[in-house]
Amino acid sequence: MSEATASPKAEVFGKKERQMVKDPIWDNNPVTLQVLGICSALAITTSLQPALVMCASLTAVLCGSNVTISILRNFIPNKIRIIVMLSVVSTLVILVDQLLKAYAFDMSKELSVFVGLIITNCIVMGRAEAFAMANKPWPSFLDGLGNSLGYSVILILVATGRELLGNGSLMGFQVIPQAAYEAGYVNMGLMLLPPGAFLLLGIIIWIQRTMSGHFED
Amino acid sequence: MEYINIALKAIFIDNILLSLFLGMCSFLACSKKIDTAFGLGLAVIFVLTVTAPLNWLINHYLLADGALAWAGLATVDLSFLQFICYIAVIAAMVQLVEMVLDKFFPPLYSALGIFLPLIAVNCAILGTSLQMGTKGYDFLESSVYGLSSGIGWALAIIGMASIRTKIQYSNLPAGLRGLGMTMIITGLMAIGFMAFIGIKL
Amino acid sequence: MSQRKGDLYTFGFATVICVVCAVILALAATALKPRQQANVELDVLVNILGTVGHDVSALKKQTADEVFQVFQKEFETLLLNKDNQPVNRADLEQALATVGYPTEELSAQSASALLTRYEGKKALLARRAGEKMATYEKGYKLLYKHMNSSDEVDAYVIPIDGYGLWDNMKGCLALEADLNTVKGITFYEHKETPGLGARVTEAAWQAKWAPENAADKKKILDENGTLISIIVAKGNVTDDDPLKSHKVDGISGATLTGNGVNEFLKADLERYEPYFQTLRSQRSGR
Repeated sequence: MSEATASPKAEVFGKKERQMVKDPIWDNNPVTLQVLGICSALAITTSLQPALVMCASLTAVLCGSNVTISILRNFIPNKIRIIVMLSVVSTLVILVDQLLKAYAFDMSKELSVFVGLIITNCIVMGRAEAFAMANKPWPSFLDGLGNSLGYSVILILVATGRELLGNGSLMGFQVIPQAAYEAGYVNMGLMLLPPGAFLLLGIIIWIQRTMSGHFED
Repeated sequence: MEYINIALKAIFIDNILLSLFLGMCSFLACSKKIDTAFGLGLAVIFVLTVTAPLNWLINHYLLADGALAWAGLATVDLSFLQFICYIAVIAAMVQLVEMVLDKFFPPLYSALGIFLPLIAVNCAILGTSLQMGTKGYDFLESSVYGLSSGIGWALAIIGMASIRTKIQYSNLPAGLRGLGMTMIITGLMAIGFMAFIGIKL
Repeated sequence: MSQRKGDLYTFGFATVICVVCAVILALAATALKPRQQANVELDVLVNILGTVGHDVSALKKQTADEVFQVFQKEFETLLLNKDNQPVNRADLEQALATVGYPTEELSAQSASALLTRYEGKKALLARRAGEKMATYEKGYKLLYKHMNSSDEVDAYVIPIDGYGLWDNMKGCLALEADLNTVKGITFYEHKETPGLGARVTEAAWQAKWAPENAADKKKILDENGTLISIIVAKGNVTDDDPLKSHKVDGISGATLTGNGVNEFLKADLERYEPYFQTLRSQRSGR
C-alpha cells in the first residue's frame, strides 16, 4: 500500500483509530490492566449517579488534556514537562469543578474533594505522558476517549454492584422489591463501606483478566 | 490531647488509604517488596509533613476568602486556585526530595525508580491538603494531620508488602494473581482498620 | 518545529503558561461565582421550606426567583443578638461594608448568607475594632417565623449545625407555634457515609420526626417545661418507652452519626431556649 518511508495516511475514523478507542475499553483497560485511576473507582461508587458524573468529568478532562498537551507537545521544555502537564490538567479540572458548582450543585456536593482529585488521577497523567506527548491531537483525543470509556465501564460495574447489593436501589430507584425485605432479605451493608469496594473490584479484576487472558506473573 | 486525637484519627480511623481510598496507584505498584515499600512510605511521610503545613499557609494567607486582608484586599476570594497552587507546591517538594535522595541515598533512589516523581501525583498528598481545608484545622493541627496521614499510609503499604511477601509462593488462580489478590487483601485490611471507628480519647 | 532553546526559553514558557492558566481560571471563577452563591443560598431556602411541609424535590425543579418568592411570602426572618434582642440586618451589612464588600451585593444576600459571611470575617472585624474576638463575638442567631394564611405565626425554624461522624452537618429544625412540638427537620449538608449516616437526608427518616398522629408527636420539653431535646435512639423506639415522645428511631449502622446529631441538636436548642421561653410566656400571657 504505502511506501515504507511514508507514514500511512491517518484517517479520521480508520481501523487504527477505531482500535485506539476500542482497546482500552476491555483489552487494555486502564483500571484493571494498566492499574491506573483506582482511587476514584472506589470512592465515588457507593451509588450510580455520582459515578456517572465522575465518568463524564473524567472524560472531559482526559480528552481535553490529551488534546491540549498534544498541541503543545513540541513547545514544552523538557525540564518542566511534568509541571506543565500538571498545570494544564489542573486548569481543566478547576474549570469542571467550577461548572459543577454552578450548574449541578447537588452533584458537586456529593463528589466534593474527588473532583479535585481528578488532577492526580493516574490515568490522566499516565496517558498525557505516554501518548499525548508523542502523538498528534486527533489520535490523542481518541486515546483519551478510549481510556475514559474503559474507566467508565469499570466504574459503572462497581457502582451498580455496590448500590444494588448495598442499598437495593439503582440511580435512587428502589429495585429490590419491598416483598423481598419482608421475606428476610437484608441489604449487604459491607458493599457501601470501603472494604466492600476493594473486594468487589478485586473480583471484577479477576473476571476481567480471566476473560481477556492478560495475566500478571 | 487534641493533637493525639487528630493523629489517631488520621492513622487508624480515617486512614488515608484504607478509608479514604487515596494513594492507591503507588500502593498497588510498590507493595511487592518490603524495602521498596518502606522507602516509599518514608518519602511519603516526609512530603506530607512538609506540604500540609505549607499548603495551609498558602491557603490561609493567600487563597481563602478574605485571606488577603493583610494586603488590603479583604473581599478577594482566590480559593478556586487551591488545586493548582497545592499541586505546584507538592511537585516542587517532590523534586526536592528526589534531589536529596539522589545525592545522599542513591540505592534507595534507584530502587524507587519512577515512583519517586510519581509521589507528586499521588492522590494521598493532594487529598490530605484538601481534607485539612474541609476539616478546618489550624497550622499546628494541619502539621500533625499531615504527619499522621503519612504514617497511616506508610503503615498500610508496609503491611501490604509484608503480606504479599508471605503469599509469594501461594498457588493463586491466574486471573487473581497480582492486582486482584492485592485488592482483596486491602479489603480485609480495611475491615480490620474499621474496628477503630468511634474511638475517642 | 521549535527547539527547546535552554533556560531563557524554559523560563519564558513557564511564565506564559502561568499567565494563561491564571487568566482562564480567574475569568471562569468570576463569571460563575454569582450563580454558585445563588445555588448555596437556594439550598438553604429550599430546606427551610422543606421543614414546614413543602415538597423539596418539587421546589428544586423551580427557579431561584420562584422559590425566593414563596419564601418571602411565608417567612419572616429574625436576626437576634447575644442578648436575644432582634437586630436589624443593616448592622451586619454595615460591619461587612467596612471590610470592603460593595453594599449592593450585601443587601441582595439572604440573611443566612450574610451571617455566614460575617462568621467568616469575625476575626478581621475584631482586629479592626481593637478587641479580642471572644469579647467582640456578637453571638448572632437566626430565627425564621412561618406565617400561615391568616398571617399568624404557626411555626418557627432554626438552623442547626454540628459534627456528625466524619464532618460538619447542617440542617433546619421546625417547631410548631408552641415551640415544643417538632414540625419537621431537614439536613442539607453533610459528609456522612453514603447508605448509612447519609440517610439523614432521606424523607422517610425525616418524616419520623413529625408523625401524622397527634398522639405520636415529638416534643422537646418534658412535662415540667425543661428542655430535653430530641434523641436519635439506637434502633427502634419501643412503644412502652416513657421517653417515647422525645425519641426518634435510629438509622441502622449509623449510630455514631445519630450520636453527633443528638449532641449538636441539644446544643443548638439550648442556645435558643432563653428566647423561646420569652416567646412562650408571651404566647401564654395572651
